[in-house]
Amino acid sequence: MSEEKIKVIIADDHQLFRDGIRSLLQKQDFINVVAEASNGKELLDTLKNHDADIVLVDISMPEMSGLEVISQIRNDYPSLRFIVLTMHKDGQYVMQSAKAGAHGYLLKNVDEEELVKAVSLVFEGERYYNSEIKELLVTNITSGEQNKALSPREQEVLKLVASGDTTKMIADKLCVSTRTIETHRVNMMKKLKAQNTAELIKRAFELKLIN
Amino acid sequence: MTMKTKKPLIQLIFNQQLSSKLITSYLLIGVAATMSISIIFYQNFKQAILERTFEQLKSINILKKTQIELYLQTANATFPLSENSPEKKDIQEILYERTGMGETGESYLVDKSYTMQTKSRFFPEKKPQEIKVKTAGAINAYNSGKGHAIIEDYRGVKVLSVYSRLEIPGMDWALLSEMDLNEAMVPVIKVRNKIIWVSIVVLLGITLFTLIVSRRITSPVKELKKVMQKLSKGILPKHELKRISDDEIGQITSAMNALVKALQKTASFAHDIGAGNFKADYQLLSNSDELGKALVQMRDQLIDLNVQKTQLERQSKRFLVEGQENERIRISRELHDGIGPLLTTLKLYLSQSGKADESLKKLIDETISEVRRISDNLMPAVLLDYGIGAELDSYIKSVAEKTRLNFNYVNEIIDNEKVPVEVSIALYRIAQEAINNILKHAEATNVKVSVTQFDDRLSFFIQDDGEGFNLSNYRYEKNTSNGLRNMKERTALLNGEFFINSTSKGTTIEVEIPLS
Repeated sequence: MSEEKIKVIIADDHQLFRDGIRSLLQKQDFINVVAEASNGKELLDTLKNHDADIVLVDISMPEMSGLEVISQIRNDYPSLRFIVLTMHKDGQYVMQSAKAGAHGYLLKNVDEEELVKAVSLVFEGERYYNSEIKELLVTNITSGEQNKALSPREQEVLKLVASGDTTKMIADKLCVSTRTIETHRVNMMKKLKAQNTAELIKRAFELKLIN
Repeated sequence: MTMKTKKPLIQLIFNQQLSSKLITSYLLIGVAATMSISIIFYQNFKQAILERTFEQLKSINILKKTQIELYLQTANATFPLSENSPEKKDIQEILYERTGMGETGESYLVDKSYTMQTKSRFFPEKKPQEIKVKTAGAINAYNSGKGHAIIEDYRGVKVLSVYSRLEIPGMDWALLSEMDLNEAMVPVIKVRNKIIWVSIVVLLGITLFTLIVSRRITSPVKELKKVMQKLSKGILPKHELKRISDDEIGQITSAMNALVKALQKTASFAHDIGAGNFKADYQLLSNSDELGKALVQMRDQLIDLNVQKTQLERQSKRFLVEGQENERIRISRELHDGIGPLLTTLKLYLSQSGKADESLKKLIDETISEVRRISDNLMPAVLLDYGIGAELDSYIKSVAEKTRLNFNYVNEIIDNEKVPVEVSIALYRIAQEAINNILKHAEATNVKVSVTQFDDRLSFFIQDDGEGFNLSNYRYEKNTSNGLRNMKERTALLNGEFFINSTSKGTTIEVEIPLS
């Protein structure tokens, strides 16, 4: 029954590529490609007119990037599931995709089988990130957010401050300019809400940031 | 003298040196004064002496005349008197009385026939009648009765002559009292000689005085002349002139010293400017110091120009670099978005056609990877899309995978939106260069990397524990020196600061780029 078929929309700015994916997917009798879009805006329109289960979406598209679209319409179409299909093989993109709410991440030179497998799994509610992709993600340790705790560098500086070193001495030890140390000091005092160095060290002890 | 010859003469006079002029003037004045005084005095004195002598002769003449007239009145004489008459003898005696007549003075009688009637002092043996006295004195005596004059006497000698006509009835005699002019002039001559000697001494004194004064006046002027000649050639004298006097020349000397000092200051300032030292300070000599003002203006203009030049250079380099990087972005994108998709599509079609076997697919995969690698090398997509913090993370990871280096990376980018893409790209290139250097030369084990975002700037830090290198010896490796210069240039273009330190324990590089 056609009801059983997985409805897929392909969003990619490359016509030939879309054709290729389409014919590949159409070969499966349980998948039906219902529509195509060549950029983010078009995708929004397409979604209004077509019912779909899965959207295969490229990240780099003109007008609106795929990730922007995903984060925008997640809530509008809660049952819709997204699989990112991209050239980018970098952890950053994987992370951003996951953040945006993608359920899967595939490279464009993916095998036919893997593509079909991913579509099926995601349709059933799972997330599809293969081991290669996961590796990119897991070893991505950086967080771009500021946290209340002191950064490793600030901790280094604070330790030296607590041990009585002057700004110049600290700068020499860490081989940076005294201005950098001063700025770190000021930032730390802001972060920990201290008025002077003594308070800074006290608060740091209290928060167990240094020992 | 014609006009033509007169001119060069006048020129000659005016062209004399100052000292000659002074000496000549003083001497001329001295000579003229001395001479006029001497001459006037001499003339007056001579006049006085002659008058005095005439007065003397006059009184003698009157006396003798009176004596003779008295005598003849009382004597009973018959006129004419004979030669040997006693009356004549007595008259002779009267006339022999020659007190006050000096050596050459005599009084004698003549008659109308201009023969002597009494004996001549000078020809005592001669009979008086034999001497003719047709002199101006005798003639005047008969013409005007009495008088005095300087005449030639019967000997032909110049004498002072006083004459008078005797008033004796029956006789027409004239009485002449005469003295040699020479004798009368004796005192005058004496004085004249004294005057001459004194004049000579005075003139010598004047000459000496003139020479001294002239030298005192002209030698500072000569010194000034030398200094001025030097100045006119642009030579600044090294030593000050000594100021001898307080007069105008002394003041000029002081002013000249001050001028030379001021010129030295100005020259030194101009020199500084010429050497590119625009920090040189200069104090204007006065409110109207034209040259100084011009130099200061020039210096300030040069400073401005310099600043402008640096800015322009920087700007043009920035454009170049921007152009370069933009080019890279373009090519990278074209590779990634142009060729990449074609290859993936190719793979798709190939796998669908059934003609592709594993090795072919693998080949396509490798091609895709290669395109990705080239594209990333040119300009990483992550850098453009997510910033320097994220890109360094990927980059360092990939380096760590391929080498044995231990990386410790701290990413403190807070808000990538605030980081201009220019800055991100520059820091990325710097990081690439730095890490390359470590890979090539440092023989390091551990590398610390961090990028920190402050409110006003971005700070990039990389430190390795390798063997370091000699900072002052850049020719160590041409690539290294170029790379370092490249890093410094990129930093400078963004008005940033570049710090590098290298010891045998390792190398540290820190870059700070301001964020506007």
